[in-house]
Amino acid sequence: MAERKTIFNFANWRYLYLSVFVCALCIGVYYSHASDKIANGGTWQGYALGSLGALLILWLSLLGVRKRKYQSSLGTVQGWTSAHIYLGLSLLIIATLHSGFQFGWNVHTYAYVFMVVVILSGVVGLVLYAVLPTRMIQNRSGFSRKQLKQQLHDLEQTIIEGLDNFPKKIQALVVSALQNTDHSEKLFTVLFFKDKSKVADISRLDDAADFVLVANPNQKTLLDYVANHATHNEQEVSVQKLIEQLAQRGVLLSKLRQDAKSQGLLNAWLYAHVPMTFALLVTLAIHIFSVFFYW
Amino acid sequence: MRLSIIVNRQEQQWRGEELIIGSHPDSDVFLASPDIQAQHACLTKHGSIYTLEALSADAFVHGEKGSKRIHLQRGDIAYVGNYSLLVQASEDGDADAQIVIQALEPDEFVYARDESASGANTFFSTSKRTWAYGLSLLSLLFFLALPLLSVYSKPYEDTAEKYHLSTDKVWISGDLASAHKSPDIADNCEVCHQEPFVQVTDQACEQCHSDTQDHFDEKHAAGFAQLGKFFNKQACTDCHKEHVDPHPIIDSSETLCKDCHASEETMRALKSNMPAVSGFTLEKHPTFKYTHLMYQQVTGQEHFSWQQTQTLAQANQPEVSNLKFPHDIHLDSNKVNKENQQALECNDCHQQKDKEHFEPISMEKHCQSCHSLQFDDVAGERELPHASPSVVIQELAEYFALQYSSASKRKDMAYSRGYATRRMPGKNSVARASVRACGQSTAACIKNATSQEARNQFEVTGCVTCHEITKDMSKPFKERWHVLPVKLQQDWYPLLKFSHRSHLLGLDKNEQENCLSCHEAVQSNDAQDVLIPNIENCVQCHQSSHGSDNLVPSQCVDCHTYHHTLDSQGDMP
Repeated sequence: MAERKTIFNFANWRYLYLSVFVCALCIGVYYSHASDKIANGGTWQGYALGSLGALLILWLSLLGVRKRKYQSSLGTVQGWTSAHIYLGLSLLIIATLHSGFQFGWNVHTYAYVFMVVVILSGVVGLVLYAVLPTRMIQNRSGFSRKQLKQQLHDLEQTIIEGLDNFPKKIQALVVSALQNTDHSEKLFTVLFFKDKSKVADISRLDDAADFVLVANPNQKTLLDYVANHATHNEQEVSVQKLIEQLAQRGVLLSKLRQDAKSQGLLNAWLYAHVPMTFALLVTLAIHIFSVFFYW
Repeated sequence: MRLSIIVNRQEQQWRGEELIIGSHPDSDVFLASPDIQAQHACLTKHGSIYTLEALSADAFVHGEKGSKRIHLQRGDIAYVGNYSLLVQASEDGDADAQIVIQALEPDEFVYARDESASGANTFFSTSKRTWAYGLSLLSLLFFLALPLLSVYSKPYEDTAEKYHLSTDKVWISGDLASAHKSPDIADNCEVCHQEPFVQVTDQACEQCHSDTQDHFDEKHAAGFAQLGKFFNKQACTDCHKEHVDPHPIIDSSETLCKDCHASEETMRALKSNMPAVSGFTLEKHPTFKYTHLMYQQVTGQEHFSWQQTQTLAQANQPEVSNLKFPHDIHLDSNKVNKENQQALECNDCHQQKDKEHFEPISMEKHCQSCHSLQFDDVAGERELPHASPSVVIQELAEYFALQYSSASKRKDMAYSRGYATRRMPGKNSVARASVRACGQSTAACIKNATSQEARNQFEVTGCVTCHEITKDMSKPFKERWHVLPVKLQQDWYPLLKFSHRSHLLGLDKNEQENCLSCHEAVQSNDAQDVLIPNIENCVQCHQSSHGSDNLVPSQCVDCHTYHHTLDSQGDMP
């Protein structure tokens, strides 16, 4: 069976081999420093490694440009991404050799750390984009996010329309649950907070004119209320149906929440990797400027 | 107020002051819809006007004029959440009015619940571009703008120092070498970095290091140009890399020297006749050259000159100092003793001046305590001057003139001094001879005694013990003897660095034994022997760095000086 083509094994691992070759070459250049010479960015080897690193950073940042040029025939985006990954990783070695392992509290080490953070964020992105899209499609059972929302909307409509047959209390509970469903999609909220959905407290429905709300994570409290009420009710068939509908709504909500989490992570990554790359280019320019300002 | 209320086509009668519409079960009008709050709105009547008022911030009501609080007359329509509310005349005469409440179709509902309250795409309230520019601005501010400001604005620099703000110090790639870390230099980058984007120039270094010699002169520089060597401009910064602390600013690497010196071809191209050196072993390093002090007599004239000449050690060129000095006898306790009966030690004569060099040997300091210039027993401790033969002869003549001015006086003096008992071994007693033999005229006696003692000093014992003396009978008496000038080589390797002090330390040897382990003085019976060790001696303990043996790793600059003073030939020994 032919191996599936990915950005990793693109063109028979061409860019992996290229990167390994480039790294080996750079290590060779680094060790051409005579053993009793001090290696740093100021030797000819240092200038060579630094120039290569800077050009590489420039080229790596061009991936964003190439991605948007759909008509470009300058290699496939898949090929570019493959090269972006492997050459990007090799930059860790090239820039470290360029530094000659001399670090300090200065703009040069700042630029280096900045670069390392950008590369590491790239690795994180690689993992996220390798795992999340498949997981998202599975989670949404092949539907789009918009379709899921439509399903939820339709289901809620059906639930509301079917409520007439139920006592006011049940109706009020369902309505309060619908009103107080946690629809958060913000990454921070879905990542760090639990479902904050609420429902009117059945036991205090008679005490106050307004709803007294209690937690209703994943609509479980509401389901309990409705299920418990069903034992006192002769319309068991329609109660069963309502419970099923509400349960289905709960599932849809948690899928949407899960989807928001994944989508949020993917977006957040773009907010990290891309702007930091831009700032890295600026910082790199400052590094070069300051080196030659006080040459 | 009595109302006939029709909710979704179901009619009910109601009586009361305030009609509460909501999704709470206790509401007067119960509407089960997510768009209806528990207590959503309240309808009251004042005269013929009905007032519809929203009961909470989340509750939406609106009519043609305004929202939240709407005044309605019969025939008016308003909206409550996703329901329409129509006030009309009641068909039932008892009721004040009929209120018709009906669910709106989804597309009729203006205040639809906000389904997409917050899409995942708006995770950040700012755009990616803002983040990119923001981060870049931070970099620009702290690592470019403020440092640049500190370069051109002294007031800002002072303020920044005080409050630890960003200055051009963030550009420093490494600490300064300790010698440069003085406030004058370290606080003023422009002392060395005189012009932006121009590499530090030699002029900057020469502000302090003006007397530092170049490694090679113009003659060689031309050779560099031909070779196309990067090194040819010979800038200070080629070798002295600053801001690489903790590495030293002095490049002591062997490769720096070997770049040129390892290849004889390169050296020839650089117009140097130095042999190739590729390390410090017998194979890689040529044998040393002594700098001999050559004594030359200019033919036909009485002029002498000393010249420093380099000689290969193998040539066994003797040292011609015109001094007689057997080291072996002086170091033999059976033959020479100090006053305390101990043998002489090297440092009795060779006293260290600095860690490398020794004080010059002088007759007065090092020889005279034993080799006194006493010449006449009768004269007691009186000594001849350590001067030229003519002065010595003059001194002798004057001495004897005084002695023979009165024969009886001399005789008395001789006996009173008890000269016979104090006769120096191997020396004639001038006094006794004169008493016995000098029956002639006083002038003749003086002449005889002077001549006898002069011959004695220059040919038998006295001056001639240590000095090389020539005799020319054709010349008048006073100029007959010539003491050859004496000069000892002070520095056999004048351009090398060698610390005697550190080489005198040893685990199992005392200082004397340490000296003798390199200088074979005990075996030397002639002052012409050169007792300076050569490379064979050094390589017993030293070798190039990175060697595998347990030998002291040594680099070129451990012994050689880079910024040396060039000798007349422009070559370095």
